[in-house]
Amino acid sequence: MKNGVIKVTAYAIPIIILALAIFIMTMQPTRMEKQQFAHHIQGMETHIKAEEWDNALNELQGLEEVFYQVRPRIQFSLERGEINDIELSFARIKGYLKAKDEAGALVSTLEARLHWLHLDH
Amino acid sequence: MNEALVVLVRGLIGFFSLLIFARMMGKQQISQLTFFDYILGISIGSIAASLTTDLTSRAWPHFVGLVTWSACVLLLQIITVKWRYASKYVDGEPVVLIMNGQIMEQAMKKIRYRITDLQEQLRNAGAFNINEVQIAILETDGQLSVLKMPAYQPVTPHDLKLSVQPISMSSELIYDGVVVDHNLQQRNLSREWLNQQLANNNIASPSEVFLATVDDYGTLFIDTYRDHLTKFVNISDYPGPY
Repeated sequence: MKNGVIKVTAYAIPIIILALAIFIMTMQPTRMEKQQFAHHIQGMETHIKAEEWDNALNELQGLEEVFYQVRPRIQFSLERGEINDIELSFARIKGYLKAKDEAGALVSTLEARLHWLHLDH
Repeated sequence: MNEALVVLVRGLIGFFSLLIFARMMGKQQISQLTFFDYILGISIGSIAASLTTDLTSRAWPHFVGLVTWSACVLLLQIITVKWRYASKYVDGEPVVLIMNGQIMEQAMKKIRYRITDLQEQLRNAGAFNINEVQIAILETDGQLSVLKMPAYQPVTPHDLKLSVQPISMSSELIYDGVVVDHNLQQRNLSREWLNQQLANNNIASPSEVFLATVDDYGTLFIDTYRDHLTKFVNISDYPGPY
């Protein structure tokens, strides 16, 4: 019985380690986080088109909160460049919103959406 | 992104994954390396290193690469064990370079082996005079196996028609101050017996012992942490910083 337990443990340990490694490397945003991100980005686009810059900035803040909530988990599986790209696009959007540049803000919003979609494995 | 933390976590993933896969691939990876096995080891290690430090790519593809290479090695091992023809195809076979004292020039030419390579390997095997060599075989891992002429082989008890005790393996009874009860049981020995033996050698407790072994004839070897050397030879040839 004792030998059986030792044997099972000996096989279980590497399986658990590999499973944990795979889990860490394939972590993604949860469905709720994806929905939140989509909601905020959609809201931001609407506000940009309506030239409601303060509301758009609020939506951007919501977007950033979602992203910074997700980042600590998914940073182990992503490229450094992918994370930097999203942060850069947020900075661009903020700049365009403050400059009240509709075209630039919309382009950067699409860029942010694309970067977010690329996070999916 | 905390790059140091990411490298730490990816490093742990790479390290333990490599440890598990190397363990699965078995001991032959270490002791009987052919040139291809050696290259495989380097490649797999390189993939694990990239998984750890290459933050410009995702961890998952590197891990998949690691799994793929390790799985291929395992598959090749299984195939070569089951199928002799495949084993010969993949690993080649040993080549006889010297037979009955004569150098096989054609075999050497075929494997592009120079006479200087042969002489070097012979010297490494302790044969400084080629006259002494009866057979020399180049193994698949690049090692040269040398059989000297009978006249140049060391004398054995068998040559002198002496009867000797069979050689026995020894078992550890104490390692690093800790008694190995499992081996004591296997040898049908008790702790009391062990303590008595230690007392006979003026040792108060197993914790004073670095290594203690016993063989089939009951011969005990004991090495304590405290070394009682009366003359210590300093092999250092030049005073250094340490």
